[in-house]
Amino acid sequence: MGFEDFVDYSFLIPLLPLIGAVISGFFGAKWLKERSHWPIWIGVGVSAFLSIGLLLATIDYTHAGHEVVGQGSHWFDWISAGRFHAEAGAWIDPLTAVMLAVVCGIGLLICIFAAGYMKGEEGYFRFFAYLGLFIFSMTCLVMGSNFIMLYLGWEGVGLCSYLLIGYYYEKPSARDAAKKAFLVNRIGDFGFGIGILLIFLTFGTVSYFGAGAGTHTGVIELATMPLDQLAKIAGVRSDWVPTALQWIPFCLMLGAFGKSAQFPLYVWLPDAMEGPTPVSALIHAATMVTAGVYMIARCGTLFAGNLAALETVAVVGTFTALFAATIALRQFDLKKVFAYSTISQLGFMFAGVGLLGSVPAVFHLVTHAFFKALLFLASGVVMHAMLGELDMRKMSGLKRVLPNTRILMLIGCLALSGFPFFSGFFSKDEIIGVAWEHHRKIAIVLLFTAFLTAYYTFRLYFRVFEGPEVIPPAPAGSSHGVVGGDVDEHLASGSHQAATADDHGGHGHHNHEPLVMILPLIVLAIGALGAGFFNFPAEHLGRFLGHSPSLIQTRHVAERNGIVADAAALGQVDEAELRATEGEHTSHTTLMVMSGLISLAGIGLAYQLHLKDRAAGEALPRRFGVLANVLEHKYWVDEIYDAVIVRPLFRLGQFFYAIDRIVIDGLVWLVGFVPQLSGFTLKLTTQRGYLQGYAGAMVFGIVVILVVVFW
Amino acid sequence: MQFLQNNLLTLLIFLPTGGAVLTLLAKNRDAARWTALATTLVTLALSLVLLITFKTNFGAVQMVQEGDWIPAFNIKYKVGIDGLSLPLVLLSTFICALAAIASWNIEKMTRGYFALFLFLETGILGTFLAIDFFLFYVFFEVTLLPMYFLIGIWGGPRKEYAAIKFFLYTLVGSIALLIVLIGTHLYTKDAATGLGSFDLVKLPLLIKAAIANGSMSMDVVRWFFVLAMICFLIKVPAVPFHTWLPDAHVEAPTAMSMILAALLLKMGGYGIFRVAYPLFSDAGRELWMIVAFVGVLSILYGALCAMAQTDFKRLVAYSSVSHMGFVVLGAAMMTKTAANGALFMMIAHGITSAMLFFIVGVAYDRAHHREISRFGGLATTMPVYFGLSAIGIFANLGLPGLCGFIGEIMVLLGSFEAAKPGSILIQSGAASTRQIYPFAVSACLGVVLTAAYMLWTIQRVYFGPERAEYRGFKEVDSREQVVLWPLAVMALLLGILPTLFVFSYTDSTVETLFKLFR
Repeated sequence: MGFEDFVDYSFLIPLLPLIGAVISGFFGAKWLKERSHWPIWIGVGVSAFLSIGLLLATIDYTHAGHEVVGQGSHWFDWISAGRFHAEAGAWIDPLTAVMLAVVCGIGLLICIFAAGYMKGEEGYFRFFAYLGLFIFSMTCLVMGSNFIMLYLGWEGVGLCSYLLIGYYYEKPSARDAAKKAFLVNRIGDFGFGIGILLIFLTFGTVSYFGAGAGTHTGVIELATMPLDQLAKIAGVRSDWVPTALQWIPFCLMLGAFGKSAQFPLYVWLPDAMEGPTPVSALIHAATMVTAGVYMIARCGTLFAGNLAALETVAVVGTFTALFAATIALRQFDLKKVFAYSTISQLGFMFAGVGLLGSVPAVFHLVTHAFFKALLFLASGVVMHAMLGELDMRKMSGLKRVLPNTRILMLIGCLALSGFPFFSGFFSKDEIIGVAWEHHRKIAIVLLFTAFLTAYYTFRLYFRVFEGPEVIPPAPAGSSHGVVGGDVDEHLASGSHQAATADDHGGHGHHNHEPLVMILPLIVLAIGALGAGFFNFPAEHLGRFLGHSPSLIQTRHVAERNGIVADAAALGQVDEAELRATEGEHTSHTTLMVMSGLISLAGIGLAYQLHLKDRAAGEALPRRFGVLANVLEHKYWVDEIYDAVIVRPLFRLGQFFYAIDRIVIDGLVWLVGFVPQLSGFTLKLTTQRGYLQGYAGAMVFGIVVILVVVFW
Repeated sequence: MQFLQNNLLTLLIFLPTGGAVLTLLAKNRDAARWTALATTLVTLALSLVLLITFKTNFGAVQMVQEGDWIPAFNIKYKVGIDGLSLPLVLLSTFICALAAIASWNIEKMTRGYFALFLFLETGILGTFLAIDFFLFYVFFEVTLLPMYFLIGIWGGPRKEYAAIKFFLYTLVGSIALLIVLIGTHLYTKDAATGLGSFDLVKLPLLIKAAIANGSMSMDVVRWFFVLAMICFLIKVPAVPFHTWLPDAHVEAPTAMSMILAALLLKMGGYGIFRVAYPLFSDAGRELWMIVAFVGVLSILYGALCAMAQTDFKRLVAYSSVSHMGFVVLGAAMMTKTAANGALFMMIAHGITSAMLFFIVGVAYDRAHHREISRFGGLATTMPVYFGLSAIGIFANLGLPGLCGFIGEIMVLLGSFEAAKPGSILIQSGAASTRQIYPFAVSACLGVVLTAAYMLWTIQRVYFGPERAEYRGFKEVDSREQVVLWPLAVMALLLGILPTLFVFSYTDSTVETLFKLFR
């Protein structure tokens, strides 16, 4: 099968998980029961097979000498009214192929893991139906051929995220987290939606590309045109186009900030850890949250001409990376640490795309998907074995209880902390490398963040797996979903959790590493170890991505606007640069050594404070009491939002409702009072009065009007 | 077949009346409700014939049937159908059939209930199919009385208050429309015959001619537009004419809430597109800002009020106010995309509001209260019910792939499009780009607020620990599923295939309509 065949059959990739979801959803409760994972396994499995096949076919196609690789596949007409047309269809290019392989590949591994992890949970079928629906939406998001498909997937993954965070919907904390996630995302989508509307207005279409590469009828291609020409095509005044182009990237990036949990819209992601751990791994680490990065890489041409937008993305990304890393320093819940770490790592990716380094960003996206999914699933195993306990203050030295998990977790931690020759080292280094070339300040902040990352990662590792063995007592009324240390909340959350805890806790503390859970972890660990070599030392991934028309044209736009873009960071080969590579290589090597040393320093500090001399580690926050307090309370951002946005809005609603009741209804009463008075006489002669009174008034009114009009 | 084709529309309108008579003659309760259900089902089947006979790309009014009624005033019995009315007619027969099933357990005076119900259906279908303005007005008013009694007799504890309020509001609107009706007739007097016109197809041109030759001043046109809009905005209902709706809904029996939200409100939206804008398009263009303001105000105000509700049904009622605001905004912006979107929004809201009101009814039947704060954990108690509710709620909050999204995005797209040079509003100089954006952007905010109150509802009603007092609730039974599943399927189909179901009919008619606007 060649590239074209795979494109023709691309509709199967979202369709099969959807069919699986429908089967599990409708027949799971009654008939499939504990076999409900099979439709999803088969659906996602075939999709993963197809996605990897598609990736390989696309690679072959690029090797066959095609410079620009991208092809559309029309499924059916979706919306068509007036001047507006949106098809349901796919756009397949190297960027899509890589994203699809990540989504379906990692998705499959996590679906397999989940069958072991979720065993015996109430609503098992529901969980898998949602997972299938998620893979459907996510594949639509990354392979859709236009912005409306993107929006469909975008909202679809939001819905699945909502449903899965709220999986333990009987728990107040879970349902609050679910609502928060959807709402914060909706705020982002507000901007995103306006962005898409503006795109349609400016370009007269919502498709990314025309029928084939180079036809110049799609948004991404049209954005490369000179402004006056564009104005002619779009049929708008030429002075309006620059304004629109100025606003569009800012609107789009608001959506990206929401979905990918960037400052100030990151607040939902830590709470989202209320969902079952496989969900945290799949949706809130590996795939959904990277949608923003994908989108900006895809729409590079819309951003590349706009220096302010690019810098905003880069600065917000960098700030978020640092900000979230500092919060992670003082979190005690395993999943929360990884949640803040995810926000921080996404910040790295945003810094990458913001500096026009789509390749390093996507590279980091791929490696991060491997090692962060690994870390989450491994903490899921810990949680499983510790009966839902995730507080690292209550456990220590688990390496003897969970030997396999410890090794897997160690691999994940090394990758996350950027330990030399693990995957995270290469990808993070590439982002810092681009920053070093173009924006020295950002590079320095990112290097410092990398140091913090190494420190908090190994703080966790040394606390949980090394040192004297401490196994926590089973927390009261706990289950998988329990996160955080709020005991009252656990007690209040009712009988259902006690039941689920029994399901897992019936056999007490035990060595809980079933094969169905460990095997996917091993595959992920191999990825976490080796994924770095996708793009190092030979830049295979970069060269491959460079065939995507999105990246090629991004570079054209950047060059035309005089914005310095690193050719390699967009996967392009530049003759002039090739000649100059000698010197660059040395500077790059220096940077690599430096970031390696920084990672080692972070790990060393963690070793000192959290394994060798834990007393010193505990004394430290006491010495910086205020700072520790600020970090533990996450800068009070949630509280600020509540006071500044949530409560006032709610009050406004109540105020409006009071106006309804008092002002408007008062006026209505007044209006009604006059006929009632006049109808009073009628009331004396008839028995009930009501309707007749008004009918009389109506006749009277009509007569008056007729008289007035005809006189 | 030829007979059917010629008389199809008349048959459609009066079939329910015939059913109403039969229902009144029925011997007992069972016979009455089976007769009523059979009538609505036959009407539904008959309306599906329209899909075969309707010419999609025709644009103008078709299948016209006309005859003299009151020749002295040139009043005719004239019915016809086009892309504006076809989707609404199908929605009406569909919802009425489901509402008949939803009314199955009415105990009190069953015959009277179903007879009024069928009489109401005649009024609704007549409103959507009448092409003569006078006939339109008659049908428009005919719906008023059955609904007044249906709320006033079969309603909740404060039914009299609600019924009177409903009647009072609508009456004010009716008087406003009556003035317009008589006025347009007088201003379009033909010199030769001395007779004015009531023909809704000819009136736009006659009024344009009257303006051109100076017999009708712009002031009069403006007044007529405002009066007609007041009538329809009360029906829609738009803020500040909306406070009858929450009360009427809260007191109305479930099936009547479904019809009220799904169909009666649409008569307002339909009137805007059938009467107010085609007849007085010049005034509509001039006064766009007021109409758009009312639309956006309804969207935001309705959503914020919904957020403040403690009664489940009242919340859904306010959500209707918010969603119908998109219809008003869609009309105000005078772009084809927005008009198509507004028409779609009416159909989508017809589906989702009927669904949500029935969902509230299901909960009320079991719990005998509607206090949101007293619910909780229904997802555990009644999982199938939760699944169906979730479809309705997410369709309502505009999730892509379900019907609410298409309407919202088309209206918003159309609103932004109105800011483009070449749009009717910009070209005529009635608006500048800078003026339009604030409306379009604030309308987008409504999407966020909708998500907020709808999700909060899910959270309070369905999520949370199961409550002991509701543990005995039985899952939705087969009758309730018969109502909910078709609605759920339509919500999905409209979201996936909007062109097939709506736009293929509305598009050419909107095209025709906009020729009048230039």
